[in-house]
Amino acid sequence: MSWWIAILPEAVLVVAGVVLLGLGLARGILRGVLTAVALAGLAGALAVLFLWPVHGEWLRGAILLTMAVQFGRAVILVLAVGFVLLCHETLREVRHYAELLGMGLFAVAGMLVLAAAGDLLMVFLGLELAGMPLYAMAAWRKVDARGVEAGVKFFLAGGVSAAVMVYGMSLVYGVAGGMGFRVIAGAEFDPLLVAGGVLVLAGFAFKVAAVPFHLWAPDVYVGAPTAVASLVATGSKVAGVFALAKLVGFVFGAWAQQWEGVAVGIVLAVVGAASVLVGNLGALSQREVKRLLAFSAVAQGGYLLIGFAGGERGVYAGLFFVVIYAAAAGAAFASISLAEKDGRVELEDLRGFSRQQPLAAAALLLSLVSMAGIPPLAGFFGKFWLFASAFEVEWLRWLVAFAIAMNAVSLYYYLQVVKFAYLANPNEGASTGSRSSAILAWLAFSFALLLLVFGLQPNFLSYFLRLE
Amino acid sequence: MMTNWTSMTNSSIFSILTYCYLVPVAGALVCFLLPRAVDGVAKWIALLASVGSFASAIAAFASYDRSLAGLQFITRVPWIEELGVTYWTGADGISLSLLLLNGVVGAAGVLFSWNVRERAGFFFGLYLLVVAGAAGVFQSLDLFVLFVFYELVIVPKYLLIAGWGSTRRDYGAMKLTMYSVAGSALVLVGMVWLWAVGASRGQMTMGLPEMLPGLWAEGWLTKAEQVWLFPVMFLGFAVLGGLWPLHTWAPTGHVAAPTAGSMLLAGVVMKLGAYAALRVPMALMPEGLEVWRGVFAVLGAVGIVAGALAAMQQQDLKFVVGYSSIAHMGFVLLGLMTLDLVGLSGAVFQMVSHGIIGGLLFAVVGRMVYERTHTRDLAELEGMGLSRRLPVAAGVFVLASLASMGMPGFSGFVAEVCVLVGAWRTMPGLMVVAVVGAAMTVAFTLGAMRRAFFGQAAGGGAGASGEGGAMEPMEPVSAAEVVGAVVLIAAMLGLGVAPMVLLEPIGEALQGDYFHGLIQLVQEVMR
Repeated sequence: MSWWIAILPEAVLVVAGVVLLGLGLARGILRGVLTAVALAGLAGALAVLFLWPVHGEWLRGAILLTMAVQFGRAVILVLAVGFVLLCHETLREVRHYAELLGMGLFAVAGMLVLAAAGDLLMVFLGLELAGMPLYAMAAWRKVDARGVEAGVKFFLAGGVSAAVMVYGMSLVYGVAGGMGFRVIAGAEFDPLLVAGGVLVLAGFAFKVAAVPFHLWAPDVYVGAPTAVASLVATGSKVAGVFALAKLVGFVFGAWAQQWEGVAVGIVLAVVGAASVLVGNLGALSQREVKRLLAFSAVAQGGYLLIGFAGGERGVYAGLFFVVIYAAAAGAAFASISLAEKDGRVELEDLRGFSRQQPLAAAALLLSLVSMAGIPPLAGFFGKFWLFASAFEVEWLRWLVAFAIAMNAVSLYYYLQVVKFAYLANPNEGASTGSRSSAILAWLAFSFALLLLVFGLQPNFLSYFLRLE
Repeated sequence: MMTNWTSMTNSSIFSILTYCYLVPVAGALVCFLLPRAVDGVAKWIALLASVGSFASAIAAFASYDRSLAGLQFITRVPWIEELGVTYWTGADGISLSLLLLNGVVGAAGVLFSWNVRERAGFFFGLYLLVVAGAAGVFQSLDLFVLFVFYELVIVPKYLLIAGWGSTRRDYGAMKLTMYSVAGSALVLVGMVWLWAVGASRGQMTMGLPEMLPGLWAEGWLTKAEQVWLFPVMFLGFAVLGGLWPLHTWAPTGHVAAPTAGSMLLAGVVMKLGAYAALRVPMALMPEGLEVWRGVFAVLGAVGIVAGALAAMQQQDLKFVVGYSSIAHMGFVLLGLMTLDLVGLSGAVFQMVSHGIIGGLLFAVVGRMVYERTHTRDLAELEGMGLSRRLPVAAGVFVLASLASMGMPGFSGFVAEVCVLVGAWRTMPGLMVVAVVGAAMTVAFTLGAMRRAFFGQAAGGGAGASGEGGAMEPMEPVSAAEVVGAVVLIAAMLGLGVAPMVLLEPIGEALQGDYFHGLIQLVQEVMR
């Protein structure tokens, strides 16, 4: 099979995106048609992945696909289906609906590129291709000050981290004489190489919303349309983590015997621990659920980075963890979109949620409890696996203990949400739930059900991540 | 001599023990899915499921082969390859005793919640999940599986308290939950540590019997490491067991909880902590235990006295019972730390005994009294003459109080005497403290009983009878309550009269292969 099969899914998405932009020019076109086109694009990309699940290296290692990565790309596409359904159900009045979907597909194509990347240049390409449309989509509610704020903050944080990353790449290229992961892994030792490697991490820190590149997350989650926020929280994160996993696995893994590897590991661990701290403490006082989810995402990214610092086993655990996290976040966003009022979901808005929307409320409960790491939901297994792997590295032990302690704190804020959704009685006279949508309720519930299934039988998921 | 664990493995995933939690889980699912219109059926489903769990425990106890002793009904199937985790369950005399306790309190709790109407399906679903989680913990032989069941309880019990509770329920529920997860975090650190130790030696396992030889014989952990790890895990579990001074969640949580919730919390959930402390850190790390036993024994003894002292100060009858739980759990912890066979058996027996007595006391206070008088304030209850107006409640409370005070003939007597004998042999100073605590228990229990049920109005004065006529009649004690009380009283008396039914299997379990390391330490202490 030649290289173009490997990037055929991206091509399908881009074509579908262009078609959508074209359809957007037509007056009076039905929203249903646009949604169908977007879904068809995603389905086509998924079909390509299933029909030709190729693996190998192409273009001198610029594309590096293992079966596990292909599985990750399929996960991104499934999460994107959730995004399209959310758009269809929640953005009824939005202008430029076709363009929103089209740019969404471009962003998803970028995520697939990022996950497939085998050298730093492709990483950068993927980051930007995913990032640019997302910046615009975050600011979609352009008349709303919060929407504009979301777009600008997102763009500035992304731009700064990209700049840092490119500088790091230039250092790496200068020393190693190439951009491919394998080339860098085989390069001779040089302090500059380590410095470059650490700077490259900045781009990933932005993607997973790790400290110090996390400040955009709360504002984007709240300011962007919920559908867009869900794509940022799920597909985008999965893509970033799969690329980072390859970088850590190939490059830093090869360095692990020397102090370079330790140095990068320390940076990952410290960034992770800082994110765990900031995310959990930040989430404690939030009254708006999307903001709360943003801080919780910062914390979850932190657990992941601590695990990545633990080496190869930690990387596998991280892949498991991020897929589970994305399913939980997808379920949570789809669920709370049903309680949304004026683009916001205050805790108070969830009063009576479990009675009006039992299915969506169950999904919210399961997803939050999974994020809190309570068994038998899959989030617990991901976390346990991460922590156990990291614990094998002696200098990481205190950080693991710290992360476990902070994780205990997290149950406090997750339970606040659960309390309002399940126990609080609706206020007298208050208008109840803004919208009802069977599609979204079932979407949320099916994602949440995966958490239970993978929790009771983690092998169903880890099987795919073990594939070569 | 080590048992070959794999040869005893059941090829099927189901054993009789499995039904102890599978039936409640199935019941919970049905309850959750019940349409709101037929919510009333939920209590019947809950009763059926909890009785089913109890019946499975009885059947397991009956078919347990005493001549073989040790762990039986072993089921082991691979589960999570990456971590070397297997689904591994089985039971010895200790597990079976606690499974029986869980069954009897679980079934009685449903009877005492017979009047729950508000969102009954959800209530009983959560309730059954707590029962299921506890049943799972008591049969787990893999640390990972044990922890999964242990944590399964957390969210349901939070929702039960915050949703159906009374006094300061939000605060009580969250405080209890935070203490639980703080304990779980300590346990999790220990688990991760143990796993990493095994994995670094190429032996990925979380199976408790499999880790034993590594820890005893192959030196997975140095003594210094055991001295570090033991208190981490022990404290983690003991928080849930009501270890002083980390016990404050228990009275607030118990008081805030709905009746069935406090019955399960005091009756079963606190035992999860004590049981797991014995099953995991004490069995796995005797070297660490040896160093720390003095500290924890003192904390246990202080808990007895401090719990009794606090109970004396309370004006709220439910708080009196709540603090008495701390005193009784102090006996459990002290008994565990005596490292004497009689003391250890007494500790396990006290878990069962207090589970029944505490459950019954909370049932009387929360259901029989509070839901009729709408007060638990002793000063107010004093004027109500409850012994005449609620004679059944008064009678049950007197019986439960006698048991709680450790009257001969009731299970509490046997348990506390065993613990005291154990303490007298190995730590006589603390035995004196415990005896003082026991005497104080008598004092506050009698005081609370007199004020709550035999106040002035009951004294037969002319004024009192005049007032009594003005009071509106109280809803009579229902049949469900009577049945629940009779079951618990029967268990309490039965165990008091024939304690050997459980004490012998418990003693045999302690001398089984599983507790080999612990028993070696016991023998050293005896010398």
